[in-house]
Amino acid sequence: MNDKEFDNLLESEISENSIDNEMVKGITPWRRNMEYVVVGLFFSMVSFSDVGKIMSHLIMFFAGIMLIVGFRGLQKENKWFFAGYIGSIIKLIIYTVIIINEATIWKDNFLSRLIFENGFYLNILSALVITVCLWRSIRAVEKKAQVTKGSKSPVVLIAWYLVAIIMAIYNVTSMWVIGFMITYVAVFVCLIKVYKSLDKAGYAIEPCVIKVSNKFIVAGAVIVLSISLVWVYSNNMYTMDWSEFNQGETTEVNEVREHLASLGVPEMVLNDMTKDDILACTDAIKIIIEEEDFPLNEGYEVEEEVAPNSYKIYTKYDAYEIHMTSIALCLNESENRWKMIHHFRTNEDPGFYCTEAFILSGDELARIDGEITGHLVCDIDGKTYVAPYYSMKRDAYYFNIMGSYMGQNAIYTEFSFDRKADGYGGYISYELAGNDPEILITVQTEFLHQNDRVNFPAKTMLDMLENYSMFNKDRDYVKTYHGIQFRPSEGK
Amino acid sequence: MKDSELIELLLNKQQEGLDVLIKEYGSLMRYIIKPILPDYREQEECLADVAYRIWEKINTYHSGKGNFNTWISAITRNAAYNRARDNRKKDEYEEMPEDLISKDNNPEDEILKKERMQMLHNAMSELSVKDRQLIYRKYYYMQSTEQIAAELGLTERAVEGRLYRIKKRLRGKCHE
Repeated sequence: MNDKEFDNLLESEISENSIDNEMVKGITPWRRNMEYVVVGLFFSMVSFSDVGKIMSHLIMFFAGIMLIVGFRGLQKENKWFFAGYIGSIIKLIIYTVIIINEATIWKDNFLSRLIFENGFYLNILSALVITVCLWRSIRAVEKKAQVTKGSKSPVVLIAWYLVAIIMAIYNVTSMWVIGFMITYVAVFVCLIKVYKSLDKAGYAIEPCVIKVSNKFIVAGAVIVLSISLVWVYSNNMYTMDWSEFNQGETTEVNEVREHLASLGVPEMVLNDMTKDDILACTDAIKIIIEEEDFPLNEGYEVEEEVAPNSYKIYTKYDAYEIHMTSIALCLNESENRWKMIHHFRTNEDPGFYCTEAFILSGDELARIDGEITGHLVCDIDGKTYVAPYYSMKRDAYYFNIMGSYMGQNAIYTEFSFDRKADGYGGYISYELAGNDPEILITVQTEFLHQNDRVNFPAKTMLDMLENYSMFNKDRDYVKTYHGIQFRPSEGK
Repeated sequence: MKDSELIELLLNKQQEGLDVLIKEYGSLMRYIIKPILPDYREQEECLADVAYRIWEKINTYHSGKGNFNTWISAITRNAAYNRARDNRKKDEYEEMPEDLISKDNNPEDEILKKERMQMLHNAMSELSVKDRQLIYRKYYYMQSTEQIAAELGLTERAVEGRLYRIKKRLRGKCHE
C-alpha cells in the first residue's frame, strides 16, 4: 500500500466513524493560543512572593513568554492582538531587565534606581495594557463573528488592575491572606470566562503561520536570560587594583621584623604588612594578641549521645577556613600609644564569589590617631599581590540590644578577591592614643563572607549587614566574630 | 442563548431558531467548511445546506450521544465532504476515459479493505488525544498543513514531521 492509498484509507476510516466531543473541543483555531494568553495573564497578575524572590521573578518571566507565544499566533487577526503581542514583548523585556538588575550589585546608578523604583509599576502597567488589548481584540473577534453582546470579563480584570495600581501607589499591602485568596480566585474565574467567551465566536479567528516554533522562542528567551545571569554572576564583583607586593627587605625592616617576632607577632601577619607599618612598630615594647580560626561554611548539625537518653546537638565544621588575628602593640607606655593590627588570612580557599566585608567596631576607635592603613593580599602562582580596599569608611555601627539600637564607632571595608588565587588575606592598622590606662579597650572584628555563588537579589556584604538578623538562618553569607579586649596596663 | 433554548426553537420549527443557529454556530460551520470547500460561493451554499439539514434533522439529535456542538460539527463536515466528493467525482468523470468509469472493485479487495480499516480503527484508538486531533485535523477537517501549523503554534515542517511519525506508527500497527 503506497502513501496515497494509505491516506485514502485513513480518510475513509475517519469519515465512517462519528467524531467525538473530545476531538471537536480540541480542534479550534484559538484555543491553544488563548490558553497561553490566559495562563500568562494569570501568572502576571498574582504575586508569588512567598515562594522566594528568585522563583517569583522566574514565574513572571515565564508568564511573559507565555503571553508572547499566545499573542504571536493571533497577531495578524486584528490590530489589538498585534498590540497585545508588542505589549507582551515589552513586558518580557522589562521583566528580563528587572531580573538582571536584581542579580547585579551595581544598583547605585540612575537606570537601576529607575528600574528598582518603577519596576512594579512598569510590570503592572504593561499587564494592564495587555488586558486592555485582550479585551478589545476579543470584542473585535465577536464583531467579526456577528456576536452583538460582548463578554464583560476583561473589563472586570481591567478594574482589578486599576485597584491594584491604586493600592500600590498608596502602599496598601497589608491585605489578609483570605483577601488575597479571594482576589486570586476572582482573577482566575474572570480569565476562565474570557477564555470561554470565545467558545463560539473564536472560530472566526484566523491564526497566522509562524516561522519559528514556540519552543525556539522559549529556548531563546531562557538562553538570553541564562547567559546574562551567568555573565552578571561571573562579573558581580568589585574591580580591585592588584599589584605585586614588595615589602622591601632592608636591614632596618628585618631588624624590626625580628623584634616584633620576638614579641610574639606571628610571621603570617608580618609577611602581609607594608614596610611602613612594620617600621611604625619599631618602638613596640609589649604585645596583647588574640588569634583564632573560624569557619566560613555553614557546617552541619550533629547529634551526639553524651549520656543515656541525653543528646547534645551542635554544628560541626569540617573546615575552619579563616584565621583572624588581632594585635595591640604598645609603642609608648607613658603616652599610652598603641599600634593596633587586625589581620585575616585564609587557611584554605572558602570560594570567593561576589563581595566581602571586614568591619571593625568599638568605642575606642574614636581615639584613632593618624591614618588608617592596611591592604588586601593575594597569592597567585607563588607571587604575592596587594590591593587597597575597594572602599574604607568610618561610620557609626548600630546594633540591636533587646529591641533598642546602640551605636559604636566603626571602620567598614568592602572588597572582592581574585578567584584564581591560592591564598587570601588582609589587615587594617591604626594607632590609638590618649587612652586611660585602666579603661577597657574593646575592638571587635567581623568578616562577612558570601558562601553561595548565587545571591538573589544580589547584595554586597555591607547591604547584607544592614539587614542582618542572627535568627535568620536562610542567608547566603557567613559572619565571623573576633575581637580583642584589654586594659593598657596589661600586656607582656 | 443556551443550546437547550436553541434546540427548543428548532424543534418548534421557529424561524428565529435558524437565525440564532447561524449567529451562534456560523463561525464554527464556516471554520469546518472552509478547508474542505475552497470556493467562497460553494462555502456559502454549503452553509445554507447545513442549516437546512439541521433544521430538518433536529429531532434526531440526542444529547446522550454527544454535545450539540459535536453534532453540528459532524453534520457540517459531512455535508462539506460530500459536496467536495461529488465535485471531485464530477471532475473525474469528465476527465476519465469512458472504459474506466464503470470499473467495479473486486470483492476480495473490498474484504481486504474492510480488514485494514478495522485494524486502522484499532490503531487510531491507541493514539494519544493530541495525535488523534492532528489526524482529525488533516483527514477529517481536511485542514492544510499551513492552517494546522498556525493553529498549533508549530512550523509547517514540525507538523509534517509529526504527521509522518503518526502515520508510520499507524501503518506499522496495520501490518502487524
